[in-house]
Amino acid sequence: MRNRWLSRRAFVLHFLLVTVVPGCLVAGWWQVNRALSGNLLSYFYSIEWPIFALLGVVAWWQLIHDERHGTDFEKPQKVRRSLLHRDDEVPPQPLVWDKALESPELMAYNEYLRTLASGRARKTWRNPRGLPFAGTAGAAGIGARAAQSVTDP
Amino acid sequence: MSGSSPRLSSLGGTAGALARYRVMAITVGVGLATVCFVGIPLQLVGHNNWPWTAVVEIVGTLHGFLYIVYLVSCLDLAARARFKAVQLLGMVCSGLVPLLAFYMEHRVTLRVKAQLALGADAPPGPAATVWGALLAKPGRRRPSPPQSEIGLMGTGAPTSHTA
Repeated sequence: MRNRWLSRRAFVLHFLLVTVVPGCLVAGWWQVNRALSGNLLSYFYSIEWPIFALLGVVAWWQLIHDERHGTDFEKPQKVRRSLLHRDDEVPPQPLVWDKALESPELMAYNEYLRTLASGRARKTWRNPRGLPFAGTAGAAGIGARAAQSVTDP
Repeated sequence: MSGSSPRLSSLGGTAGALARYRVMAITVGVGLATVCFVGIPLQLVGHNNWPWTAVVEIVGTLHGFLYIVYLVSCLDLAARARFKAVQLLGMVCSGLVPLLAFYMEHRVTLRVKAQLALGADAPPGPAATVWGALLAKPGRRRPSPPQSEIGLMGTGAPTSHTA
């Protein structure tokens, strides 16, 4: 039973035992002397201090025989796998896009982005043919097509 | 929970020990607060003369007696609920520092109740109580608990330990 009596925790408990219990007994002896010199209340204290010493021994015995053996119930034992990540960190989930979750606004906006990327603008009442806006990526296309339409006929 | 050891279920189990501890903690807390905040000022006002020292002498002596009972109830609860030495020290100090008893009583109650709520996942019964050892038959040894019974104490959730 090396763990029980010789672990670091056990040595702390032994240290507490050899300091607290004699301390209580010394205090009890002091109260005995006071009681014999005429202090009535000290008769009671001279009984109480030895009881404290006894309870200290009881607590020491209980804590020594508590079979936790290094297992700490308070904290889960952590195993560090990486210096960059804490162990309780949730690993990042792979990005999965569910189109069914898009709102109508988002769908409309994505549609708008798609038309922009395709080099054509949306057809609106101000732009019925869906011509690209000036300054966008499609602007060069306009010039080219305009030049074509000019030269074609 | 307390079913793992027959010693544990005696005297109302951990819940019974908690109830006894709470009664004693409140009693000792009230007694110490009375001595410190009523008795000692009266004693100082009366320059240590008899009628003024009545509260200190009567309540103080009573508190001295009840503090022993309180310590026994603390040791009982600490063994059943498997408190650490530091926590036991806090319980012991709360009979010496005025008003600390009420705070400690609150904390200890929350902790033990969370532990009781774990049910089967709670840590196994007390490793040892002095009276248990005195009452136990010499040939009968309590088997050491399997590792799977160990749960988190006080947080309300069991954890699996990955080695």
